[in-house]
Amino acid sequence: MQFLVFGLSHKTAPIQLRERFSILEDALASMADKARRAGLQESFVVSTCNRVEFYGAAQRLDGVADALRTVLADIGQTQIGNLDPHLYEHRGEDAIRHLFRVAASLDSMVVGEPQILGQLKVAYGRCRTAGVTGPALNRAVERAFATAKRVRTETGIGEHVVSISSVAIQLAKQIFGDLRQKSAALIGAGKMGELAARHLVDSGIHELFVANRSIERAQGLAARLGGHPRSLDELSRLLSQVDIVVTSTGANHHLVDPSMMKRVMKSRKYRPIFFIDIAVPRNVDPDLNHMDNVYVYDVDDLNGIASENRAARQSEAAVAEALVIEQADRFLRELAGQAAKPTILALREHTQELKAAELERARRRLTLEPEKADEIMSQLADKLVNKMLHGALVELKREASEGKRSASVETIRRIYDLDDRSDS
Amino acid sequence: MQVLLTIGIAAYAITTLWYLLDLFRPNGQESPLPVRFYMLASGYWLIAFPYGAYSYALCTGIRPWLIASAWSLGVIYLYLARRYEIRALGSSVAALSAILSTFALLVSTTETSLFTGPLADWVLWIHIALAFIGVTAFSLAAAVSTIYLSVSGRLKRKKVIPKTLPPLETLDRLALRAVSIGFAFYTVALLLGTAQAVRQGTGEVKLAYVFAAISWVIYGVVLQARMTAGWRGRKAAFLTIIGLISALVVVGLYAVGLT
Repeated sequence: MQFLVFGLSHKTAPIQLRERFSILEDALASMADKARRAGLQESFVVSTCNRVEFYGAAQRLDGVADALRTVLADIGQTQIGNLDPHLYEHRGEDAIRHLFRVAASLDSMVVGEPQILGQLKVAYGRCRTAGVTGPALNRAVERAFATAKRVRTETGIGEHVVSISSVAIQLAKQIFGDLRQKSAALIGAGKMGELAARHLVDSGIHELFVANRSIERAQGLAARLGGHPRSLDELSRLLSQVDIVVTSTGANHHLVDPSMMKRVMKSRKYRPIFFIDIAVPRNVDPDLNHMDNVYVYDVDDLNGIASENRAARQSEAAVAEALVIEQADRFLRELAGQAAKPTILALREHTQELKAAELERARRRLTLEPEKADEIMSQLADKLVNKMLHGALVELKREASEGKRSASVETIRRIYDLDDRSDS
Repeated sequence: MQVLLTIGIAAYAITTLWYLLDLFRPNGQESPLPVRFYMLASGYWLIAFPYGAYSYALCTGIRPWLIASAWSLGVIYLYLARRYEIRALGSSVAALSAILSTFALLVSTTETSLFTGPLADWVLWIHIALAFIGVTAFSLAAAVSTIYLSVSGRLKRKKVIPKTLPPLETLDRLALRAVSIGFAFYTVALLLGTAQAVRQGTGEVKLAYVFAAISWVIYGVVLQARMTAGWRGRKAAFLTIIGLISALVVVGLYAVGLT
C-alpha cells in the first residue's frame, strides 16, 4: 500500500486562496469519497483555516494526483492552472512524516497550537464513520495521534502562550489563580481592549465593568460583552473595586497615576491589582509598577513575554521534531515488516508441507527397512535440501542463461553469506 | 545518632537541590522525582528516630523536637502539595528541614532529660512542644513567602514565570494561615516560658528570650496589620522571613547551649 498527501496549506497558499477551500464538517466524508473515486482506496480529508489536505492510501497512485487536482479545483471553483503553484504532494515515507508532523502541530502556522489535533480527529472520525478510510490509513492516523499526544506530554511545545491576549490572561492567573472570583474593568472602547476583555470573559471572570467617556458607547460595549457600563468619572471608585484593569482609551495622558493609586490601594486594603495597558500612548503611569501589589504591563511588556515564549516554543519544536521523525520512521519500518508478512507465512507453510511429506515417506521406509536407518536419514536430508532449494536454483539458472548477474544472485549471495566463497 | 542525623541532613540537602533543578527545567514540566525523594527523606526519620531513642527518652530535650519539626514540615508540605499547585515550595521547605536537622546535629550529646525534675518540668516540656509547633508553622510560612517574593519579583521585572510557580494569591493565603496557626502556638509557648522563668526567679534576661520576643512581635505586627489595614504583599513576606530567622536564632542558641 502506498500513502499520499495532496493539498495546500498556509505555507504554500495565501489566505485569499485558502478561504475558497473551506469544507464544512458534514461534507468531509463525501469529499473523501470523491478522493476514493479519484483512485485512492482509503482516504480522509482535513479542512481548517490553514490547510485543506487529502490523505490516502492505494496500491497504485498513478493518476491519482491529477484527479485530486480536479476535485480541489471544483471545491475552490477555480482553474487548475491557478491552483498548481500552491499545491503539494507527498508520497510514501514523506506522506507519513507529513501526517505525523501535522498532527503534532509542527506544520502549523503557530507551532505547538493544540487545535490542529482536534481538527484532525474530527475529520478522521467523520471519514472513518462513513467507511471511507481503511486499515492502512487507520493504522497510520492512529499512530500519528499517539505520537502527537507524546509530543504534548514529553516536550514543552504547548507550554508557552504566544498571543498578547493569552499572555495577559496567563499573567492574571499567575497573580490571582482562579479568575472566577475576580472582577475586571475595561477602560475605553478600543478594538484591542474589547478583544482582551473578551478573553477575560471567556476565562470565566466573575464580573466585568466597561467605562468610557461616552456612556452610550460604554453601554453598547457592555451589552456585547455581558458587563456593566460605568462613566469614566467613576474611575477611582472602579479601581477600588476590581482586580484586573484593561485600559485602551485614546487619551494622550496617564489616566491612572501614583497619587491616585495610593488612595485607591488604601481603600482596597492593598489587594493586588493588575493593569493591562494596551493603549498607545499609555493610559497608566508605568511607575505604578513600583508600588507594592500593583502590577502594570503595557503592550511592549506583553509582546516581550510573547516573544520569549515563541523562542522557547521553537527550541521545544526541535525536540518534538526529533521525536516525530523517530516515531514516523519506526512506523514505516513496522509497515515494511508487515508487507513481507504474507510471504513469510507462505514460505513457512510451504517448507512445513515439504518437511511433513518427506518425514512421512522416511518413516514408512524405516518401518519396512529398519536396518537401512542411516541411509534413509541421509536421503531424507538430501531430499529436503533439494526440494527447498529447487525453486531458487531454477530461477538462478534461468537468469544466468540471460547472461548477466541478476538481483536474485545478489540477494541469495547476501542471504547465505556466500561472498567469501568462490564466484566461479 | 550523629551519623543518622548526618544522613538525614544530606537527604534534605539533595532534595533541596533536586527541587531547585526541577523548578527551572527548560520545558517547564515537573518530574515527580523530587517529591518522591522528599517523601523518602522525610520517611527516613521514621526509621532513624527509634535508633536514636536509646539515648534520648522520647521528646525529653530539644533534639527530638527539632527532628519532629523537620519531619512534620515535610509531611505538611506533602499534604498541601496534593491540594494546591505548590510543588515549587519544595526547595525552600526541604532547605528549612535541612536547617532544623542541622540544629539537631549541633545539640550537645550530653543534653539532659527534662523528666528528671519535679512537675514543673512538664510545663517546660509543653513550652518546648508548643514552641516547635509554632516554629514549624513559621518555617512553612517563610518557605511560602520566599516563593511569593520570587514570583512577585519576576512579575515586576516582566520575566517569564515557570509554570511550576503557584499564583501569588494562593501563596499569600497559605502564608497567612501558617503564620496565624504558628502565632497561636508560639504565644502560648512564650507565656509558659515566661511563667517558668518567673517561677525560677533568676531575673536574668537571656539572649534567646530577646530573639523569641522579637519574632513574636514581628508575627504579631504581620497579623495585626493584615487585619486592620489589609497589609499584604512583599513587606509582609519579608517580615515573615525575618520573623523565622529570629525564631531560628532562638532554636540555634539553645541547640549550641549559648542561652
